[in-house]
Amino acid sequence: MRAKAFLTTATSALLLISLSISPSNAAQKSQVVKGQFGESISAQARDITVDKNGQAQIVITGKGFDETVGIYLAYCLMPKSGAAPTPCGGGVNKSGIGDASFWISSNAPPYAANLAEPFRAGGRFTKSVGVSEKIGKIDCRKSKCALTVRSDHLREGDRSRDLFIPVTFKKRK
Amino acid sequence: MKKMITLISVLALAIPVFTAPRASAETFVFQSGPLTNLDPAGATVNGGFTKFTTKGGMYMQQCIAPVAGARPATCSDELQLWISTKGEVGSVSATGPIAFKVSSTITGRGVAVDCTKTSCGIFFRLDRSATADTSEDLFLPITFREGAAAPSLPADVVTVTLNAKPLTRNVPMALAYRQSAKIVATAQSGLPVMLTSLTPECSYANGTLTALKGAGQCALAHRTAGNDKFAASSANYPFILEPGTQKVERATKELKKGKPKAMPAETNFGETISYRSLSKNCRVELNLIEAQKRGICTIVATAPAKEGMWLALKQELRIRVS
Repeated sequence: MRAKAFLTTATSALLLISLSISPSNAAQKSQVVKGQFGESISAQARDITVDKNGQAQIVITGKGFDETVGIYLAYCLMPKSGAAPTPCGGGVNKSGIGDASFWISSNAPPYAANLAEPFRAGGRFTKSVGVSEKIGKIDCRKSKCALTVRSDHLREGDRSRDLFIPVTFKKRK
Repeated sequence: MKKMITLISVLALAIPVFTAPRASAETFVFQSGPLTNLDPAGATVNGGFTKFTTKGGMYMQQCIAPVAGARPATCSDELQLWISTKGEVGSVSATGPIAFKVSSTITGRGVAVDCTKTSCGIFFRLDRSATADTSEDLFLPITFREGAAAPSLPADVVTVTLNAKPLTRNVPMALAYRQSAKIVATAQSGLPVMLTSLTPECSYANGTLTALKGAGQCALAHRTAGNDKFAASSANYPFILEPGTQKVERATKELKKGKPKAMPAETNFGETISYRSLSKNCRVELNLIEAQKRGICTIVATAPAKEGMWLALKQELRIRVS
């Protein structure tokens, strides 16, 4: 009985650690997508509740990425099979520093030293990505939008690293 | 194909064509313009590889003629090229034209050598991927005609250290995945030393070299611009990459009887940790530890290895229970 109670506490502890990284839209099971090189991304991206501006933040974590290959993490329209994800966007970006896309690279060219963020050890990253009901004129309630990972422009055309987590929105009340 | 046509065109223009002799065991073929009667004020040997070795990349350096059977002991710090088929940063394509600058005065290992009086030449060797392999070694003598030599400047002595250990150019050193590696570079001239990672397997930023793989090789390069008192310098420091060491970071060291505590769920590289208790006074469920009696609780943390990246974890942790 005591062991069962302890196990329940242990499970709760793990859940707490998991939930603490997701500020909102958290009470769901994470979607995990695995890539062909052992990398994976996870996020709670189903039934997203948006704010009055039609926006929300989704925490996405990645692990096992090849740290010698830079990636873009972005919120985009789901592309056709074999095509690059585009257009991408999400949220108003008045300051020029958007939270809908990130460049993660441990070996960015010298000109991009302050633009890209390096992977953490183990090819990991955690980012809060801004998503919205609309990407430009595209309505993501009607079209399929997704959190996407792709190789950066140094491997333009390399589709082998593409990963997608579809995002769906809760019905407005 | 286009590169090959360009190369053939360049070689056709570089008449008379010199072909490297094939007396030794080397498998590459290098053709160029003349190697004799060169301008002592500075010259460029234009040529290219019509056949390149399959064993790896190669270095070309202007060196003093070696004693028979040995490699050249003194080579120019500046007059060198790295030839490769892989397109690494800092390398020159093996399939394109090669413009190799030579000088009647070279500086290397802190000494200046007059190549109008001392026998010099272009030395070919396999690159850092096979430092001990001499099968592609080739020394092509060059000569300079009489005339005014380029002004000779003393070599700049550049010291590059990794965690306070000096690095030696072209001599590999071991570096583990994500090992802490602080790089410090100083030049006798006082000029700034520019450091760059030549391969994607390592990154260099803000004085830190980071291995991004646990197998293979990477290289760091230094360059100084030179000034009116010192010659410019550059060098390449290769590293053999080794698997990294996993750790349990920020593990609890103290525990109160009857009050469970969570241990880290992942290693420093993100592998899931499994815990097992070795003591009777405490037990572990998932990553949660609880003690029933005071004393020392010993648990074992394990995590799997990842090939080419890091070793498996097996770490004993001693926790004081109060």
